Amino acid sequence: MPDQSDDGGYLRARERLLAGSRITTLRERYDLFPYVLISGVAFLIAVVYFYPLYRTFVFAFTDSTFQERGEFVGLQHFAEIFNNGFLEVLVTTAYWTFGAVSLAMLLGMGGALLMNRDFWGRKYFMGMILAPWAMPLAIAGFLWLTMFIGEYGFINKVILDPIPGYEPISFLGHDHALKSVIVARVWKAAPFALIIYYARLKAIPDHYYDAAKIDGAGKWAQFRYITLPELRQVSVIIVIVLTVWTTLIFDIVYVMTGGGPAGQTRILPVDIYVTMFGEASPALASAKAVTAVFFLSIVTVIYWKVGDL
Amino acid sequence: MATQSNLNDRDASTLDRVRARLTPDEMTSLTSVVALWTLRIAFLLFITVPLYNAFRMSLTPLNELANPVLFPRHFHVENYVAAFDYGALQFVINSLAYATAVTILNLIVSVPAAYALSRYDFLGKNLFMFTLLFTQMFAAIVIVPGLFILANELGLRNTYVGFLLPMTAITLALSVWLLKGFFDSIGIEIEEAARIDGCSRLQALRQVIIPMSAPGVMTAGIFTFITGYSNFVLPLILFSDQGRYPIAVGIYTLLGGLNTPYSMMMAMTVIGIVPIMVIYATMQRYIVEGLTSGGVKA
Repeated sequence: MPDQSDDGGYLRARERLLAGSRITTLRERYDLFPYVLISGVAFLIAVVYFYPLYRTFVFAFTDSTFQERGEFVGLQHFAEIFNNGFLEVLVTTAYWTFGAVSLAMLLGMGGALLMNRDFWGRKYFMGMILAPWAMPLAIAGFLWLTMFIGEYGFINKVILDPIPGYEPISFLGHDHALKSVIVARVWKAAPFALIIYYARLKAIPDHYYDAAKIDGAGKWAQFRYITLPELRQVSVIIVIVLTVWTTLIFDIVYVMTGGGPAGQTRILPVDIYVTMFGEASPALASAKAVTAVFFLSIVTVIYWKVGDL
Repeated sequence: MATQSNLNDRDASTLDRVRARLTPDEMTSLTSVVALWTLRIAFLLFITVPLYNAFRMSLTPLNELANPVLFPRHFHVENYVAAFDYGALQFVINSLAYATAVTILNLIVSVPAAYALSRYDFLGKNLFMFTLLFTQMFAAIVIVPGLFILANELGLRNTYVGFLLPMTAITLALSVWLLKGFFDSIGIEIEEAARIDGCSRLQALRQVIIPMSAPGVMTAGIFTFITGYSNFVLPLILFSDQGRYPIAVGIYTLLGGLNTPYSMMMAMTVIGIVPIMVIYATMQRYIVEGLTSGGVKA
């Protein structure tokens, strides 16, 4: 996160100086030492990401089987997946991602604003509110499965049942399933957005608000002209990371619905898995994975340009 | 009817009396305090009710789950007994063992790499960093088809090596980023002093920099541990022997439509949550620090 405070360029100058000294004292010409240091990470990434990825591309673009490499077939597999409802999968994925990310960000920002004021017990509040972040995704799925299921679910049984004239809602059935899995994702992602927003709010200097008060700005004007602009940059980063990580979530949806009912929650990761292991079709699963990689590459480039990492 | 309006009158007069005693400013701050607390508690309920519900269901016999009960009537520990009989302890031990192994493997390779990225300029550094970011964007699911094919070819399915290597790899990017940030914040002068005193470069790293960045190594280790404990899809595709399943996959095997033993499943979920919550509660300082330094998966 960039340092917003104006230090008259002193820090930057010092950094440049340090970078210079780094080169003179530690770096020797044609030095292999840094390559030795990164070799472990480079090896693991090559073996676990790049070779399997290469195999995925081969499966996606050729007529291969597990036994032998086949002929190059161009975009045939891609044509096949799009003829078999892949577009619907992408639309479902977009709905899922947009719904979950926007809600998680709203709740995260709202929650951070609520936590920003000092109040009794804030430390314990924060401790409990951030807990879902540490929860395994699959377990988040199990927890919300038992909140929603028809026969025993907490919402139907405990919250709605005492209301006179209530009709049990089939949360994981038709029309509601996608919304229900989104709720589970929001539960897991909102605390993440919250803590990032919270840290950013804490970094806004108090004298900004003091100055605004002297100028006669009300609460809303302070929020609109100080808080929101200060949160803009961090919002961009949260949008990007949550978008990527939500799009590629498998666990929550797979344990809650398995992609059903009737494909209503069949988002891209679930679709890849079911195509690979349910329908035993590595070629089509690979074509779908390649589509995901294509999407990832675009977002990574955007992230690389936007975030100052 | 009369009592009703009397009640309203009395309420109104109470409100008037409160109003008379408070200035308009105090009145607004009272409403805002009430509103803020309502919202805070609503948020807290959204977060904690699913956890409470798991606890509630885990103490209720399956045949009583159909009753709308907010508090468990009796402590039906049989669900926990059934969960342990099913292998809950084995699953949790597996998860903890995988998480430990992944954390150790991860730190062995990511500490030197992060150090190199922090201290040296070298050809291909930018490419390497971009590649790391790219792998961090990947969820495991994207490489699952390729990884499954590879593991099959090499005969690494249902082996610990075939699981731990990919599991370590997917946690690398995050710890390298975190550690690089910590190394960046340590001034280079200290190292120079160590070098002048006759340390080799490796000694300076091992004896000076790593001890100084212990909180950073700790943070990276905690994040890796939590990820290692949590993974679901890799063990699901790579292990066929149920004795090797981690807790998330172990619970998943209980799901069976209408025949799902939800009470026992929630007992197992609670058992699976306990270790992660203990780590979370004791290590919170490091977690918050790491989360706010950016680039952590949610």
